[in-house]
Amino acid sequence: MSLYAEGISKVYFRKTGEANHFEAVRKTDLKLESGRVTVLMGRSGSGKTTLLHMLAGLLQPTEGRVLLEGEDLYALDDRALSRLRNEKIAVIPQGRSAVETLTVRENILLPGALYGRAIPAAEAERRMEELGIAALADSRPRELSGGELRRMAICRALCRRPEVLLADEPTGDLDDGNTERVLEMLRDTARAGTAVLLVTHENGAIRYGDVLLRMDAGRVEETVAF
Amino acid sequence: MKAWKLPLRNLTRKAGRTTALILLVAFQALAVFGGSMVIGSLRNGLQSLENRMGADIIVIPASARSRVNPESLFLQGTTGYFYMSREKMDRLEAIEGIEKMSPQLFLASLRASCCSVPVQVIGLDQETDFVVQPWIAESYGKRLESGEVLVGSRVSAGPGESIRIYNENCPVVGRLEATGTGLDTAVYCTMETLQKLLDAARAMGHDLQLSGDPAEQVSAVYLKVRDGYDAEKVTADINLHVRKVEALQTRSMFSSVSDSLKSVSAVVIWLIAAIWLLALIILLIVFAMMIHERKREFGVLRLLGMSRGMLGGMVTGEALICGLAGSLLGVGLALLLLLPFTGLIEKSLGLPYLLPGAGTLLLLGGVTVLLCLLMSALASLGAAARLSRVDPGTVLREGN
Amino acid sequence: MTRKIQNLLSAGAGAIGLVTAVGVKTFLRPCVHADGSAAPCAGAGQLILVLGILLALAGAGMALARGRGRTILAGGLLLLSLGLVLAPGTLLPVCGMAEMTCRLVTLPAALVAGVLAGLLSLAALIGTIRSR
Repeated sequence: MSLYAEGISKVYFRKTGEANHFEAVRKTDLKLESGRVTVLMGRSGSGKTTLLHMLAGLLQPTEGRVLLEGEDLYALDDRALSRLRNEKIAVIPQGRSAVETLTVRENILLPGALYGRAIPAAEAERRMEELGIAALADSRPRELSGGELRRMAICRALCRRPEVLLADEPTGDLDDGNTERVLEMLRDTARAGTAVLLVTHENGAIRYGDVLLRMDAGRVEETVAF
Repeated sequence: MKAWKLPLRNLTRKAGRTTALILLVAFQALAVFGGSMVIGSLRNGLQSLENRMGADIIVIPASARSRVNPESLFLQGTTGYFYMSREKMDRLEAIEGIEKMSPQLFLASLRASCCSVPVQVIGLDQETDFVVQPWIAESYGKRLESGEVLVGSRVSAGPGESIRIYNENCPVVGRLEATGTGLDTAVYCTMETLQKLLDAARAMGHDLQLSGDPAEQVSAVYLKVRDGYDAEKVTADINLHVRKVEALQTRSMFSSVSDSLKSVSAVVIWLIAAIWLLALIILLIVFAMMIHERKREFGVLRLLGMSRGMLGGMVTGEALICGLAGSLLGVGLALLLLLPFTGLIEKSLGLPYLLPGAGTLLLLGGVTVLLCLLMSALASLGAAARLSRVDPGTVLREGN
Repeated sequence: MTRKIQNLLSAGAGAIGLVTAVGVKTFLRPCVHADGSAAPCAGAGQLILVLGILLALAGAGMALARGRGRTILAGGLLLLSLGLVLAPGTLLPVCGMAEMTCRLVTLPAALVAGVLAGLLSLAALIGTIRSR
């Protein structure tokens, strides 16, 4: 099982400004393999999130293809792509990603409800326990702190047992203890057969990675395999 | 957690927004249902008036106009009485083109058994009557005997009771069906009964300005024009050849009613149109604002695997739930406000006003609900369409 | 349902009561005979006045009530509203003729006010019971 990006790039066209177009991601090849944690590091604005969104099937690349088990994501129609995203790809986005009208538990169970493949309640409870948010299960997202919301998003992604897990700064607003725990969980998930991409700028995360990529000004620069 | 519960959950957890949306739709439903109920009742009233008034021409004494406005007497139930000699009917016989002729005798009671509103008492000549008889046949089905009275639908006393008019006890034998017109507040009896009442009134010292024996008096003569003759021409002939009477063509009375009906309907329709336009604009703005406010939420739902279609379905589902709740509330409020006040509306409009039957109201309510649902769906579809053009990736970035 | 919403609902019912009470002395006044003697509907008018005032007081009282008192008060509001619906015509007579003011104005107004206040009170009552 692997996610393969073949010569993808993203160019934004601006209506105003000095340059009329902006290359967020330059032509890049990338492979995420099952069982491995790929760490993608780089300064903010280097194009990491854009790359991640393209890999997740959320953002159409300007050029190139994204293949999941040989299937071109962007050749699928919206319905099929959405379903595939629901079943195989989990994303932990930056910022708030809770559905505000649902409780924490409902947020975590929501992805399973969309296409009638319910997430086992026991699984959700166990993960919430591990992430220390079990006590907040019936709270509304607006009552949660940034770190708690982040752990909710991580829990939601892990409970889905995805084939590909794309995490965008998952430890951004977590304390050291929680950061360690989350990184360990991501590594365990990879060991269980998921292809994990970890976008971060924390050097501490390198220890948990199998492959290290650096990104600068839209270019994926070096590849280090441990 | 079930996906179909999501719209409901979104609505109940945003109670303020939901309440505002429901009230807006309720207002629309109230306007369109209430308005068409009023217009329907007016049309119904005019129809029943035309059905009830089988005469083409009504002849009254020329002096009557100085005592009461004949139009409001015949159409709105204003009470009044005036008399002319029965021999005028012989003069009318001489006019060409009259097929049927029937006299009526009027008397206004001073005080009925309760309160101080006088009722119009109408004496019928059952041998010749072609105006009230078909109506009596529908509601009562028997001949009136001397001393008995029939009451209009809005007279308080009912069958089995009796009303006291000028110290005479008159047993009520039946109640007539509602017409929505002044006919509903009148009491009907035979000519002989009315003549007795006239005597009783005179015995109590009331000056009815009768000239002579009550048995020789009539108040109005109803005429039906023979086929092939023009009612207008016959009316003119009577006014020209019979002295001291005024012939009124009923069609011109109706046309004054139907003119008023048209102007009232026009006002109501414009009002509904204005309310709907305003509400539609507000609804579109509300949905546009809501979509903008919830962009990030929608981005997250796309991220979790909702397709554009599912997202549109969710938004439309929310709109339809609001539309259903709002339109039912509006129809309910319209019924609550209009049904009890039927009497007041009829009185203040001064037009025949007869509520449509329950079946028609149900149909009207159903159409109102459908209209509101359609509009809510349209307003939300516009928003959903705009939503589907947005790239979830871009939305998620913007929210950061 | 929060206390605030329960209080708002009760205040709405109370406001309807107040308007009805003021109305029955002004624009909703029942019939008076020309000679000044009491019409048959006078009693019904008095009852509407009393019920309206009680509704207003109970509706306002909800802001101060605590615990079980809130449920009792909300139940009281519901009963008073029901009374308003039944006062003219059922509990006390109105004039016989359909053309009289009390039949055209006072009775339907009391009916509408009673139903609206009743719905608000019912919602408040359910709210107080569920939040206990």
